[in-house]
Amino acid sequence: MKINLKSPVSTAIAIGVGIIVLAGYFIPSFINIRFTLLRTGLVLAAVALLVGIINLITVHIKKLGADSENSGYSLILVIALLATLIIGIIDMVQTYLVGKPNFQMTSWIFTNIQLPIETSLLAVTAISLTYAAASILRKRMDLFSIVFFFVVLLVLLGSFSIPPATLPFLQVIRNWILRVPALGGARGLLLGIALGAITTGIRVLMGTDRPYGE
Amino acid sequence: MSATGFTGIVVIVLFVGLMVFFSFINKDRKTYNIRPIPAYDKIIQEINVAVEDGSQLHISLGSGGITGAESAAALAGLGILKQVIEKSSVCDHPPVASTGNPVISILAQDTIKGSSKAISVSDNIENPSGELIGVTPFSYAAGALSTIRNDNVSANIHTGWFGNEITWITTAGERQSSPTIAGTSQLPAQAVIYASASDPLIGEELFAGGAYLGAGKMHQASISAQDVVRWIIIFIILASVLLNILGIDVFIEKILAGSM
Amino acid sequence: MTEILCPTCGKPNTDDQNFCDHCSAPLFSVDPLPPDSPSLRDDIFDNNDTKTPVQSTEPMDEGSRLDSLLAPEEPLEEALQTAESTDEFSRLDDLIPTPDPLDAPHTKGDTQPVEESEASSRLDDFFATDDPYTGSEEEKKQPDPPAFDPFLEPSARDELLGEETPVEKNGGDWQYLTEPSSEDSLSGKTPPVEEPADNLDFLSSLSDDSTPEEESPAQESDEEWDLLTTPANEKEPVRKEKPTEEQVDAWDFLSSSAAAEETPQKEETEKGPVKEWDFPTSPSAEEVPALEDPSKDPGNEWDFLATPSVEEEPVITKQPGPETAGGLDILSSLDGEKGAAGTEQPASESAGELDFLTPDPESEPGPIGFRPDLYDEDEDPLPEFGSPGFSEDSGWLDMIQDPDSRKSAVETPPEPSKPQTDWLDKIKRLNKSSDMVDEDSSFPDWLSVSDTPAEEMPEEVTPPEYSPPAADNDDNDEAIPASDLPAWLHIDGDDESLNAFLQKKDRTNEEYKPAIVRGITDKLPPQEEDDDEPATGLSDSQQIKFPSWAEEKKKAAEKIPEDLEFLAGREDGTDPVIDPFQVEEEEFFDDLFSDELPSWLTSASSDSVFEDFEDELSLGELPGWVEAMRPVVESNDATGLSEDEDYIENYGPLAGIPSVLPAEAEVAFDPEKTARKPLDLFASKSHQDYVNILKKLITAENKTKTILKPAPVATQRVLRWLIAIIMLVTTTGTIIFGGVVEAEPPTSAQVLNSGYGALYEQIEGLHDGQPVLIAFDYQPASAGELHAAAAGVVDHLMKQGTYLSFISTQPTGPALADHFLATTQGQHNYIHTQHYINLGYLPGESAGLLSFVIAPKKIIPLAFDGSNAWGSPPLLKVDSINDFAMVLVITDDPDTAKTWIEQVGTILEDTTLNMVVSAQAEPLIQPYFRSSPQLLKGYVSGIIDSMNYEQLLNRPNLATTAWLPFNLGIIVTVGTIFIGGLANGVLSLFSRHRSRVAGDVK
Repeated sequence: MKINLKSPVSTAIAIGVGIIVLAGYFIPSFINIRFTLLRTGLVLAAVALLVGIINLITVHIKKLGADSENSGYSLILVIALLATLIIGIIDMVQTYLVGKPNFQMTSWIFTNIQLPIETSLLAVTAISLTYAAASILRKRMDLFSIVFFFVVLLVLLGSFSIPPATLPFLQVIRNWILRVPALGGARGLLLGIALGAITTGIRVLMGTDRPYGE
Repeated sequence: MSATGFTGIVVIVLFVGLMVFFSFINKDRKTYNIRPIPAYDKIIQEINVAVEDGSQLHISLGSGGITGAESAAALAGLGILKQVIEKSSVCDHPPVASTGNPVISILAQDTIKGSSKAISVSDNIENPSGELIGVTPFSYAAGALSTIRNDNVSANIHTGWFGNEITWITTAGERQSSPTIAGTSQLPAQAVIYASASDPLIGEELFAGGAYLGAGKMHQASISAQDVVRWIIIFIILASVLLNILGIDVFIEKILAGSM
Repeated sequence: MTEILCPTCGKPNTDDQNFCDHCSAPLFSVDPLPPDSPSLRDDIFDNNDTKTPVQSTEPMDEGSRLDSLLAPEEPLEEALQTAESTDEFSRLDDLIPTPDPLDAPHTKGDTQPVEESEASSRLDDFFATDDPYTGSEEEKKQPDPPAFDPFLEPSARDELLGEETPVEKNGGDWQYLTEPSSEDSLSGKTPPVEEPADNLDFLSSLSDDSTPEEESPAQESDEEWDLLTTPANEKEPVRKEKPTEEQVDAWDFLSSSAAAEETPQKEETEKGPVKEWDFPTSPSAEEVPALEDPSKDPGNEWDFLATPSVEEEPVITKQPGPETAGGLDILSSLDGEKGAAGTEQPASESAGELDFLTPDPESEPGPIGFRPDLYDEDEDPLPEFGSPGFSEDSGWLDMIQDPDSRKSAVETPPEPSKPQTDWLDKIKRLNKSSDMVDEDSSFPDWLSVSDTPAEEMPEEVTPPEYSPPAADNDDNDEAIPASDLPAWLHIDGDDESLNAFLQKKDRTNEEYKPAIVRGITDKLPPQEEDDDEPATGLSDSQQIKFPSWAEEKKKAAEKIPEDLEFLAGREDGTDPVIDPFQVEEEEFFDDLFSDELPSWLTSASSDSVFEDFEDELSLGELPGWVEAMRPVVESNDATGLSEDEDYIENYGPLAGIPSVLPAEAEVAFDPEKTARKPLDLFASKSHQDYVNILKKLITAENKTKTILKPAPVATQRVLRWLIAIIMLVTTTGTIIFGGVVEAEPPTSAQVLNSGYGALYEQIEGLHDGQPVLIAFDYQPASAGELHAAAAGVVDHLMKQGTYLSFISTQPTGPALADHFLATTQGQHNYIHTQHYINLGYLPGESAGLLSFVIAPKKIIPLAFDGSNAWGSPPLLKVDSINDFAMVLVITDDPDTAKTWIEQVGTILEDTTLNMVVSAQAEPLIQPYFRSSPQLLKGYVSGIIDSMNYEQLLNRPNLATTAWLPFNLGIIVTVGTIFIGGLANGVLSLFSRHRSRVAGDVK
């Protein structure tokens, strides 16, 4: 028998679970149910991570077969993924079998490969941010772009603190900018984002938005 | 029930009521008076360009999941993805979507399939869309570069949860001389987007995508409800300031402290 | 008034009704009649001779019903007579004569037994109706037509074919389809009898032109049908002089106007039975006169193609038998059957007219077209549907019968030649003469024209209705006078347009001209004259070009195709039995369903046709009467213009007429010239601007415009590389060669209100052995900053001797924690599960965090390495989140910070929540520190706060090491941004100015 899990079944499940979890925040009697649903969701999120990784592998394996220019990168990715997975399994098995924590190989991979790469990416981001700040007036010449430009300069100058080159008034200005306009603007943006998040969630609860497909 | 809980219920009920109310009384989308957001106009324009020249759109949904604060931005990105797919159904190449979160990846694939099926457009198996590129934000950004640098991609739409890695993505789009429309709920990334993207979405503009892209009356009603509640908050803030000036704020704080 | 019972509901209706008042059903039932009931068909197909139903119920022999339809000669006369006496009701009244209440009741045919009807005999059913339109006694006095096969009436068919069928004098029905034959002429028939009331003698009633006005009240109504008759009704005096003519010259509308001139010759009232379906036969021009004379050709209905010149058209010769004609040998079968069916029919039946259309008041209503007079029960027994006139091997079968076989059954004498006005004959002749017609042409026989030479065609042009086929010239005396035919069927000399139409194409080949055409051409002046001016004696409406397909060719008409032979006049005088629907099955269906175009269509594309056509083309000439209307310019001015006239046309049809729009096109105006013309109107400057704009648009319309793509925002790679080089060189050099620069220690005031000061105080209050939960919730990319920021804080915690528990909501958190400890806190020699415990990864983000806060042991029972975390010293005294002395969150994401504050901070009671955050998150978490209630007790934000913290602690760490490069990096960044921004700003201003100027210029 073929069970169609598409809407409205999926919609009904989504709406029901959402209402229960939301109610659990406000109604004490729903706390246990909410907790159960949350834990179930945690498990599903972990499974989703596994599914995502499997999907990643399959996509890049398909790219290996296709005659594309990025097939080499896909090969490297697949090799790296499999190698890390195998090493991690070995480490896990060793740890649980031997009884001693032994994730040296996994740690080595993380410490010597992933960490430097990502740190470097963030470092290059600083250059990109500097370039973006320098070219903002070329892209967009308006009042807010000019204000943005000068605020960046002031905040950076206020962060500078090398005696005797320290300019105290710049630090005061920086602190004032961070605590007053930046904070107020950030709060306003956060309020707006919160309102939008509320409406987005309510639309999901009402069944208007169905990101789970139809 | 604490004051926080009660406040929460009141807010939710208020939003639901306002959304339902505005969904009934709002006019047609064409005559709906909303302020123009250049980013969404650019999206529509780029869709038309993609249709005409047979190019492709790239939509990235960020690294956020659905279990945290970034879930709202991720869901908003999914909504925009759905509208873009429906509007670009006549393109030679369907839009390509990329994600940095496994849950969002599954939802994106489901959205693409559902939208394609709704408009009778078969999903392009050769160009898998909605795939998980990286589990970390920067690995996701690095993986998205290859898609952005594809010559067939005419425009990039980044709507979701992004961090500082958005800089990489927008810079890559600028190198390709392709317009970049970006929006996120994270404030530091919004600053980066404002400086690097051609058409930024600041603040709650990300969550108005459905209304501007014709997702339905409820999306327009959401905007109206947000405006109403925003004004309510404004009045509350001003009132609090006034009460503080008058010295009544201490009394209110005690009430709130006792209930929370 | 006679009542007519409705065959459907059985309720009585007046005789003047066509449809039932109660149920709106036609009062003339189409159901087949009982075998012994006279039917309307009898009258239609000239079966009026036998008015008695009994006589008319003779079953048909193997001859087709059409034979019986065409066979009788007299019924058409009777029909015509009946038509004369019809009342003033509508034409339909004439068509369906009302039953005479005084007549014998139609006991047998009032209601047609439905069960006797054959599903396939729809035509029978059509004919099997009570005929309420027999309004006149004369019509009612007509004998009952014999049983009839409407499509197999030989006499009628013979009439159409122009064959003499002396025996088939009763089957004058459908004579319009046949050529008039001598036998079909009214003269050769018995006096017309009253048509049965049920006969649909509408055609006979339409012969107004052939009947005197005083004797034919219905003639007026017949004149209404005289649509296609030419105006030259006056040319047919003879017709009107024949009061007894029952020949219905209606349907003669296709006969040319010259047929009217032949009217005197067509006074053959004793025409033979109407040759139904004789329309394919195209009587030659010689036949037209015969058709014009209803007396000669009483059955020359449908002879609309007959030429008007009666005297010029020879008598229609006999049409070939059905065996010689391929295709739809319906006419031949009619002729063939005529002998079979008509022989047993009473001779009293007048088969020349379309008696079948004249209702027989005495006869019971029968199938429309039923010819009782033609019906021979012996030969044609009762058909399956029980209606008289139909044999078991009913006539409809004969339609597809082999003409040869049918021909053998023909024993009837040849019918008189068909009237020349037989339109069917004309078509046939046209087809024969045309190159398009091949021997095996798919053109059905019943539409094909005969190739009978013109001299063989009867002279009469107008086929009389209900009259026997028009006789040949030799049999003209038997033809039904043309005056009996209604005007609208009357084709007389007024049909000049048709004559001219035929004339053009018949001009080149007299031999193959239809008689009607030949008759016209003989009358007309030579061809060259016709090109310039209208034909003499022909009205302007007659100046119609004959289509090329109808143009006769000698070569094509030499041989008469087999399928058309039956339509041609028979030379042997035999009266072939032609079934209207009898075709040479194979050829017909082959042609019908063949992929190839029929020859008569393919010939149209032949060059010769076009050549001839082109030769025929000539400038249009205005008719004389239009020319006469041309005004005479009376102006004295040399230009011919009067005072109030501005322009006089000198070209085209309007030449000489002043104040008309010029014929020559003047639309090709030159906009430039137009613009130069002085404007009489008041045009303001804005108007002029609009005109100029419009002019530009018009002139630029044909110019290709290159669309300039907007220049993409080029990436300033130089600037990018420059920034990168400067920053890398500066920071790297500073790290390598810079050394340590001590910063100024913060003041107490600064510490007092700062977050790092509060954190310092809190950690300072901790003592040895207190558990502290540290959350490593940052990305590996932020490790550089956060490691430097958190190093001093964690060092302080370790210095205090606290037990540390690590947890993370990021998958990479546990690894980061181990790395952090290994790289920054190595001097403390903390041992896992002894001094610290790494709880590992906490999935679910905020949801997981909330769950951990509620029940930490349940959520994370084991350590990251699988050891028992909650039994180790760091967590020995911890059962819930509030058992920790402090919770320290290290994160780079403000949302994560908010999540910890919102999920955990609200639950914590005495446990303090502190954070080490990136500088970008400081503005967002600061409110939590400065708000009341204070959810965040202390925080360290970035390297700056960490530097200050280390100065408070007086233990330099990573922040102190990174302080100089950090500041130099700031200086370089500020300078780069400032210089680059200014440069880009100026460039942007210049470019906008340039674009603005360029836009103004454009």
